[in-house]
Amino acid sequence: MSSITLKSVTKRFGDLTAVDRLDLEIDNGAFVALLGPSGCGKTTTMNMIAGIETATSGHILFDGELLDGVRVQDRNIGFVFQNYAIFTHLSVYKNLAYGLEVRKLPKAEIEQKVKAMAERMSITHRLNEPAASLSVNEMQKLAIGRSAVTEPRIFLLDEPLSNLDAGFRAYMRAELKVLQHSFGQTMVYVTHDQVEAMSLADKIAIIDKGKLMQYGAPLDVYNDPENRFVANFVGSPSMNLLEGHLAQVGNEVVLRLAEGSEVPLPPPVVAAFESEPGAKEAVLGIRPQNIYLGEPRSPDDRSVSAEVDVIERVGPKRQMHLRVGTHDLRAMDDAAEARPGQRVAVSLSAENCLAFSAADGRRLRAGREV
Amino acid sequence: MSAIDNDQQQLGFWARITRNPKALGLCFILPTIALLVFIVVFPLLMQVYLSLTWWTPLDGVPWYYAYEGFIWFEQYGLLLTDDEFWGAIWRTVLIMIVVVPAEFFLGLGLAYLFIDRFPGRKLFYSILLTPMMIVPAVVGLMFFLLFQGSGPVNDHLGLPTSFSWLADNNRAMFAVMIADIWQWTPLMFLILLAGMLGVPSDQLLAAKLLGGSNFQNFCKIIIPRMKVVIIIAIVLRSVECFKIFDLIYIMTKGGPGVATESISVFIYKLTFGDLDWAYVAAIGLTILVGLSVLAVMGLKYMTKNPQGR
Amino acid sequence: MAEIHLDALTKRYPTFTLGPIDLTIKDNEFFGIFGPPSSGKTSILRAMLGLMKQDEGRVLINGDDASDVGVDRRNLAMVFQNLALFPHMTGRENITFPLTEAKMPTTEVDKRLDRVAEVLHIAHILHKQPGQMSGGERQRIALGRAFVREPQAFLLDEPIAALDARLREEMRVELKRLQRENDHTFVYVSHDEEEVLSISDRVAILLEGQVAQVGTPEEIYDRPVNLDVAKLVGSPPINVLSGTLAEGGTRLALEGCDYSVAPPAGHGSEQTMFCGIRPEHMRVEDSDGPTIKAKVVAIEPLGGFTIVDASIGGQLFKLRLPGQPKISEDEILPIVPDPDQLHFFGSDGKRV
Repeated sequence: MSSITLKSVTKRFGDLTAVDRLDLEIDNGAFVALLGPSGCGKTTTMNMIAGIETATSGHILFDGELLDGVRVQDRNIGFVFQNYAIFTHLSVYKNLAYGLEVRKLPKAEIEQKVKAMAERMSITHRLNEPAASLSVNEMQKLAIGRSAVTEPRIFLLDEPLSNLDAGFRAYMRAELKVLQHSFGQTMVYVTHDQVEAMSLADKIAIIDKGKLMQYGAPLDVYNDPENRFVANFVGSPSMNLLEGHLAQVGNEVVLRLAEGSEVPLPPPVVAAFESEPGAKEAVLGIRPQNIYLGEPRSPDDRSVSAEVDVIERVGPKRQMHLRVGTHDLRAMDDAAEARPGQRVAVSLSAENCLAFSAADGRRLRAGREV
Repeated sequence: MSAIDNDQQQLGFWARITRNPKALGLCFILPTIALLVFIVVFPLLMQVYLSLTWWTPLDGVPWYYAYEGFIWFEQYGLLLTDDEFWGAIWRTVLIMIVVVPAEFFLGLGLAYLFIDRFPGRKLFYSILLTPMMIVPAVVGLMFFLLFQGSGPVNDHLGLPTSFSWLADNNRAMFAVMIADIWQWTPLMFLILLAGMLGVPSDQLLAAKLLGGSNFQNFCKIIIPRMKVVIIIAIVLRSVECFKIFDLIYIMTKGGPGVATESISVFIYKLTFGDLDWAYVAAIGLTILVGLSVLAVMGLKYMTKNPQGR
Repeated sequence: MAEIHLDALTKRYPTFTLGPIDLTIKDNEFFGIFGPPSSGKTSILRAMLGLMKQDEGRVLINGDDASDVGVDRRNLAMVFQNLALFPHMTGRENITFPLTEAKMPTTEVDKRLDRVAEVLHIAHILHKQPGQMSGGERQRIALGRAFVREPQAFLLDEPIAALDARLREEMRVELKRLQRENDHTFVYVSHDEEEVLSISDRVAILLEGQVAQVGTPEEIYDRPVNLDVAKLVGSPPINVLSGTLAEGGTRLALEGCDYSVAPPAGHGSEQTMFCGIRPEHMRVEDSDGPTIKAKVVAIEPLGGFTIVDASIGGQLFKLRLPGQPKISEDEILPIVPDPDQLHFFGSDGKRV
């Protein structure tokens, strides 16, 4: 068990900056997800923690101890690869025993530890079979068990669930959480799937283009995104982000979209936009759950007229794709009231409208001058 | 709008063949089979036929009349008691068991150096491969000159010009082996490097992360995964080495005496010196059968130990 | 533009038999085929396309038997999961490849390319090679190559499975829009139920080589014909409790908890039944009435809703609660299922 500290870590590949001055503090025993789209630098970050790649500048510390120049072999890290990297020429037993054999442990001890781990991972019945004959699901368990058996200081998982089918993925998600509890180890988990990150991690680090966008507990990140990128990336279905000009119409402030249609803005969000004085452009963010059919239910809510374009239905979720002018606005319709092609009035819930700066995507909050 | 019409019956002969996968497949391999019969099967049968006679071109009888001197397996009987033949076999095997392992370990070591990227890798790579590209006769000539009494080897080692490499029984053999190792280590290196690069890099990385030292990972991950490639490389080089000719012929002509006479040189001398072609046919067939047994054993071993991917 | 009909299609493999399958894919329909891995989904597409020859049965395209018609003359386009783009060609060359191969005049090729580029919004990436494109862009080029042939129907085999989660959500809406705006016939295969159910007009559920159910996504989700289908669709999956009929068959006492529900009328003479409750059809209730006592094991807060793993009589249950409720682990929740949203299955697994 170790805490991990990244101090202004930068990695460049030629002209490309994969990771850009990343600072991250991962507590002892925490389960942290590195979340971002593919190519955002999350895997590079993890590889640097493992020592597979060396940082161009900056430092990585385990328990405050500097790791520069420490070989991969000596870092004592459990690493689960995306494709598991099972030694397919060896038996399941030999796979599990590998990390112990290279440490030259006594045979009896190896056997006892391997058996215990196989039991833990429920692959005991396959111990003597060639590892290549395992199913994908069993390989996943073997990969985790093989790393866990050496009792590493920290555990790194590189999109370990992405090769599984949907049903087993949900099961494995729960299993991983149980495992993390029972191992009590510091775990860093790389994923591009925000559902995985939200449901598994204690804290999420959202990375885009090599930069840390936000670091916090799942619900904090969801409810209180620091910027436009986080707002868009976290949450399913994703947040609506409407870009336009701020304009005064009578007593109301509206957001005028590119082709001229207008979205009236609730007063709290107008106050937030005013914290960036002089800005004409603005971005309004609102989650589909916070748009409801019909007239405003509270005095601050505002309504807008839209046309129902497509209705997507997945089990409990009914998602409408609305057209405001030429803009797509997603809203939930759990009561199944709307039909495609219909014109409807929808209202925006005032307390859930977020304001973002059009210039740099920063979150704007009321009463805070910048 | 329908793009479908059932006009199967109106198709011509070729169209019908191209729509039948089996017939089409047969069409594709037919020319190759014909060629194989012509260049492999026919000469082989001719060789078997000749080896059962005492025919030589000196008799002035065309080869197809050789049945007049039909003697069943007498040539093979002669072979068993021919000391010159067994001597040549022994020397060839000696070259093989020295040269092939030497090439293997050198090639393996070089290949291991080349799996990681380093500056100048491509340049060294090309330089390393050049010996393989040189015509063997030229390599023979090069080493013939190197090992002259007044040649560079003696110069560098500070040996007198009277110290002769190629005229001494043991040293001539040594010189021939050195030349062969120099020329064919690159091939071994090339095959083994390909095999080594085929070991999944993530598995190697996983082994490292599990704490295995480079040597441990080399023995437990790389070598076992390369088993098939290693067998292929060794079988290939062994068979090739058994046929060693050009180097020896140019460096020593099999001499001094018969000290470096390999089986190929021995056969060459019989063919163009004694013109005893029926006997040569018998030797050729015996070696063919012997080598085939070796190769089949190697392949059997490979199929018996199928490797997981 | 095309109606595809499978008539008792059967294909036998050494350890697996596909079919007999009867399916009708209507003109201009977005038809989804969903099943767990290796249930025979791709084989059906291959049979439609003509890549696989069935052992029995027929494939009819617009009413004509296509069994002896070659792949090249069925005029169907297929988009593969791995896209199979030519890496050495630009986007434009990739798309026009099928046309130039067919020696179409340049003016016609350009006309079609322009149209496809407009529909798919790819004009700006036509000059790039696949290696320089993002996953979504490559996807669009692959679709473009299928579109440009103006085929009778499109067969899509997990075309977006390789993309990032977020991009997948965007692409599937885009696919749906494309299909609807251009009135194409789409046959869409995926092992991701959310994907299939969200965009298909009708869905066929495939289980072990057999069609288990065909219907609109709503029908399949709300009225699964048997327990296997019910378990297959829905994420998190449906909770199933077995129950014993009591009080003369008017109540079904659920096992493991002190709770009973009203079974549907006309349930026959069975003594035991299965009761399926979807995770979203249970709510926490603080009333004095009868409730199911569930012990919270784990909480997955997902923002818009929260998934709670709870233990009911030793069995793990999934609840999907709206919003972000304040719950802690090991808490005992009193829950009540929505009586109108229960699914009942007989002991043979068939819907009652």
